[in-house]
Amino acid sequence: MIRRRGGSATERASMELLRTTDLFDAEWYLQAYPDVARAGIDPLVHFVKVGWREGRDPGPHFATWLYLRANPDVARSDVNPLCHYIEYGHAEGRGTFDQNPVHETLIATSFEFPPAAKVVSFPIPKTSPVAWRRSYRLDGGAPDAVRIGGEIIGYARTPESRKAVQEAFAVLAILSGSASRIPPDESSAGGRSKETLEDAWYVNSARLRTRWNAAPFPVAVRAYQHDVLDGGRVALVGEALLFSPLDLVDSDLKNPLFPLLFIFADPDGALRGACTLAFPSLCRGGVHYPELLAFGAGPTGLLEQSERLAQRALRLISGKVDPAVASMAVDLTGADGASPLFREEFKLWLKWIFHIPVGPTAPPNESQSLAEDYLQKAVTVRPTAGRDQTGATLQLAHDMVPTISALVAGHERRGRAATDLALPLLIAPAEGTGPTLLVEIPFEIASALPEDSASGSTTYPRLTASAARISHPTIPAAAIRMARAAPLTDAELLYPLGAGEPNGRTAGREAIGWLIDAHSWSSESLMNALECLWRQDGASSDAIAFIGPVVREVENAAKDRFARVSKYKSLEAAIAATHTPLTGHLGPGVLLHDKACTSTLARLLRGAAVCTASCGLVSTEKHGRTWHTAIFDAGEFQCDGISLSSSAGRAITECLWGSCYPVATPSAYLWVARSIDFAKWHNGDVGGAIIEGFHLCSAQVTASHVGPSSGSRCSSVVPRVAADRVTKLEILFG
Amino acid sequence: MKLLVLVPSPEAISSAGVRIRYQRMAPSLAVEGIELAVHDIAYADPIAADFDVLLISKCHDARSVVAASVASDRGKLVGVDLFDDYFSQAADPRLARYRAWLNQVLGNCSFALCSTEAMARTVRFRSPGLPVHVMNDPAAALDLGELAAMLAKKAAIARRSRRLGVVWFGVGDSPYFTVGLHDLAAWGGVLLELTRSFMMVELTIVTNRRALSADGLALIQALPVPVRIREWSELTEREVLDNALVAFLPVNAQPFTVAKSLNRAVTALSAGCQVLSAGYPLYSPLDPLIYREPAKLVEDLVQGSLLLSDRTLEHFREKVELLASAQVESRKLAAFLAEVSRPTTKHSGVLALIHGHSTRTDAHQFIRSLNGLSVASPYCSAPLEFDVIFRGVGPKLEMLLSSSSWARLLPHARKRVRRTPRTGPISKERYFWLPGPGRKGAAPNLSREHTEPLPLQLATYAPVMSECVRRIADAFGPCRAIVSEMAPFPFDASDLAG
Repeated sequence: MIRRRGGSATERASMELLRTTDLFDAEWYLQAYPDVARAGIDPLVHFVKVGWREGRDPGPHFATWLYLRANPDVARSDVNPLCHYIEYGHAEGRGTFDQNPVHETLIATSFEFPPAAKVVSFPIPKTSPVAWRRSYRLDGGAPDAVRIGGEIIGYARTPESRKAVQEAFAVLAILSGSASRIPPDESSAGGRSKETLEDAWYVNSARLRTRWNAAPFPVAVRAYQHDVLDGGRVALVGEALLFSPLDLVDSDLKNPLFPLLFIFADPDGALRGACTLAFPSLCRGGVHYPELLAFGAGPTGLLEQSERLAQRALRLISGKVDPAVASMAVDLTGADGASPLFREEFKLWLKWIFHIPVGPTAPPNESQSLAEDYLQKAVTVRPTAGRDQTGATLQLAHDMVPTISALVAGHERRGRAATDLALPLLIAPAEGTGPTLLVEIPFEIASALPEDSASGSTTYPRLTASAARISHPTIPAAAIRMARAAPLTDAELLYPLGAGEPNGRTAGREAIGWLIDAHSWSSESLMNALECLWRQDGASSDAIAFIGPVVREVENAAKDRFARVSKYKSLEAAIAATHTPLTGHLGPGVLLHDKACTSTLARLLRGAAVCTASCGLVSTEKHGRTWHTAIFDAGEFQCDGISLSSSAGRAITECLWGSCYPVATPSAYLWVARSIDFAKWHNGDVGGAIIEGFHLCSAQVTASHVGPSSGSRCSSVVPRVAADRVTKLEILFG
Repeated sequence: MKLLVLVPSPEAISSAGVRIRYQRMAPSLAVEGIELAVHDIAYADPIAADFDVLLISKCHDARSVVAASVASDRGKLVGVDLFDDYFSQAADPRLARYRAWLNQVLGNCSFALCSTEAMARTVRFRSPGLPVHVMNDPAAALDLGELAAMLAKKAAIARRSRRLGVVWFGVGDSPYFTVGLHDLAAWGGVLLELTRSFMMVELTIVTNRRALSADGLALIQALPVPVRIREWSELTEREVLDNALVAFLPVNAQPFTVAKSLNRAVTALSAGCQVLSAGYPLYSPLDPLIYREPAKLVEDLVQGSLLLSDRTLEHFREKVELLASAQVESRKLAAFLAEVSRPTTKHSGVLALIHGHSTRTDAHQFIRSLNGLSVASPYCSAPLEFDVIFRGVGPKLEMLLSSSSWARLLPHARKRVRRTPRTGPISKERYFWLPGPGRKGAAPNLSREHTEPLPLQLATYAPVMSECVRRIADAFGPCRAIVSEMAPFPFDASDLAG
């Protein structure tokens, strides 16, 4: 229902304004809309309150809907379009879409203002509105008009400018998968414009905001994209007149991943140049922005990196090189179908531009649920034109996206080769929570892990080939994963893979001889530790070797529980007497809260290349009535050539939680090794301080550490592994 | 037949969920001879209350297990009604408490009601052989004439104004799952496709205030269309649905969401909205009234052939009749209940509620009101008037008895009671000490305290709780033990000896 009087201040102001223009024609309005006349409503009131929202025209010389359609910025701002035209649009060169354009100038708006009070005085350069031709007002009949796919782009004053723009559009079409003709010169992938991109970022999932240095100003900037959902048509997605490098161009992209072409022109439409942004997702806020950081480039290096990647893409398209990645397989464990890989715009990008098939890692089976069936279908991409299938499969977790570098990488026949390679991973921070992390897992780790040690989900990207050996592509990273926004909860720290539920953990394991440096323990805490150890799966066949004196009560408690209990005066004597296949070290303050802990570590040692297995250690403290849990020790990483403790690298540890990763040395508090290896290390038979193989840290289970930190002689026996066998970490700041 | 539904709080009685799932059913259940009542569990008396069937609804704590156990002993039919799946994601340690609760309550149930078939599969996995009935949420009564007028008006306005009023409504967040606004943001690209139609898309979000955190607002900000935000209330939801042409309902595929009912889609359709869904096809039972392609929706709007229109209203009515009719659901429920066998084995002995690391005062009060034993495990630090307290004293698990529970001891245990009163460490009451039976083969060093390190409590929880149960049985005779554990840590009492 419409009130005849009153209304909001905005509505009252609108009515005041519209009374001054003959673009609002009350008589015409009543004739055009008899329902308004029948209701007896003031036509001006009706138009201001509801009419324009219903798309009604105010008179014969202003088309409400066409105005809003041509000016999406106005449509978004939710203002009365006729008021906008009078107040701003006319001065900005926007049209009324009048059937009879002569009326476009018939605006009677004169206001008398009182003299303004002088508050401050400083020189302000006088500007006057610059008349410029928006794209819909460009004259298609002009002899020098340049048309691309039916769209009028501007006027070419010289043959060179026409050719440059046409070539830029040709490259755009190829990079967009809308044309197959290969350009003669791949160096043209980025266009040949003098204008420089100062900054670019996404203000929402589809609107890219750019800032340009495009002297001399003013300059009109227009952005174009191929719209694959509209038959590959070239679409104008953004347009603005810039007066300085501080002005902005908003582009409402048809697809936020598809290439974008910027055309620069004089205000009258004369073309100046073109510039291709082949991979807009590299911009800040885009899914591939972490990759730009991995290149060491900021906003000003964006175009350069994008062009470099585009040239590689063109080489693949032209068939000059074979792709390193022939297909993608996605691990759907824990997937909910809401991550980027499942989104239509991402799938279209993979399909149209890279022609890369995507499917689930696990094939469908008859017993799978409807949700599993849905996820398998939702992640699948079947391009019509296939890639060269001689390449390998890039295996990702459901919450990763492939980097552009990986998708455009060429197949290399040199370097380190294997059939299953771990590739570097970028971890993008949740909004405002920290820097981007580049995590490099040793490439051989994928084949070093025992078969049944996988947690059930993919932690890092892998490049796999069924038979042929493949080479490690020279790319900064193969995938990007979003870090979790919320920190790990206490429950997740204590039981990364759940507790008391079937999750693939097995009880059977080899016996472990536990070395316990009794000097480092108090009797009470040692009693507690032994009780926890006794409750481990398979612990009844374990042996305990106390090094140093223990009180009788502790010794008796151990004898009640374990298969064999011995006391030794020295570590050497304990090692010499070891008879169990595995040796473990239980450091001071360690309590095994998860009964699957030692069986999980023992299982990791089935991998031939695995030297030691340890797990994440957490600490718990009581604050008032509640407990707080934190990561205490989860191994050492390499960061810029130096070791970084897991507590310092908490972000990476959280991202790798639930998986296994190689570290420089095992935790000084808890590890398990093969007894024969441990004896060799102790006897100095390793030929130096560094050994081959991996120290694996599992964050699939954790143990707890209570009390103060203290050392133990047992851990000093374990040598470090080579630097290239350790997880490397690089911190990238945007 | 009298059906008593127990809900967790007085607020729950007046909640939209209870109104939709139970109150809408009441008249038609009455036709089937079922008298429905909804009570707050805190005031329920499963021993004396007059009912034939007890239904546990959303009471995820030990009170419901106690109520189920007591009612089952009376030979009453006991069921649990499940419509939020906190149970399927077994690898999530945060949800261990819910899984433990479900295992306990199902052990005392004769049947389970589920809102969807997906939820029913979860129950069948947990409790094979338990009769499970899928009861759809009933829809409100339809006025097809009014709905037809509303549909015509909405379509006419949209065509004329070229504005698509789109609404997203619902709970925008969850403490455990990425749902609500996350789904909206993830499928924001669908809204972008709507804008291709040269229609202006105006999205209104109606959601709870808690969801509008900084993170929630960042998700909304990323949407590619203009957005208005309204705080959820039933009135606001109705008002916005009445004015919107389209309800956008994206659904992810995690177990929690795939087990959801058709409720939101039926509500939107009943308010004259076209439903545009994306993601997991949760609403496919309502096909062909559900849009999956935004372009098709716009095309149909332009051509005047929207899926929900006066021409298809009869089909919609039939769908509601089939999937959301109070009469049909009542009839099916009555038939199902008639087939369920009543429990025949009556448990004997004492009912003991053992309070774990974190418990609820109302659970303690509830078991006391039912003449059961309220037992503090050594992990419990709540200062309540327990009947029995277990404490760790040195290497031994010490059992303390209140004066009132002393009288309930078995004769042989009564003889062992040391009459020297001891004061329990977590209560001001006087307690008597009952030494252990000196059982052979008892696990050594079972003494544990709530003051000890958390990992030690975690490692010893299951055997110590089992030992508590054995000691109670030794003192009071056969015992039905129920654990009250509300801690956020995954304490494991799955091996509890009963």
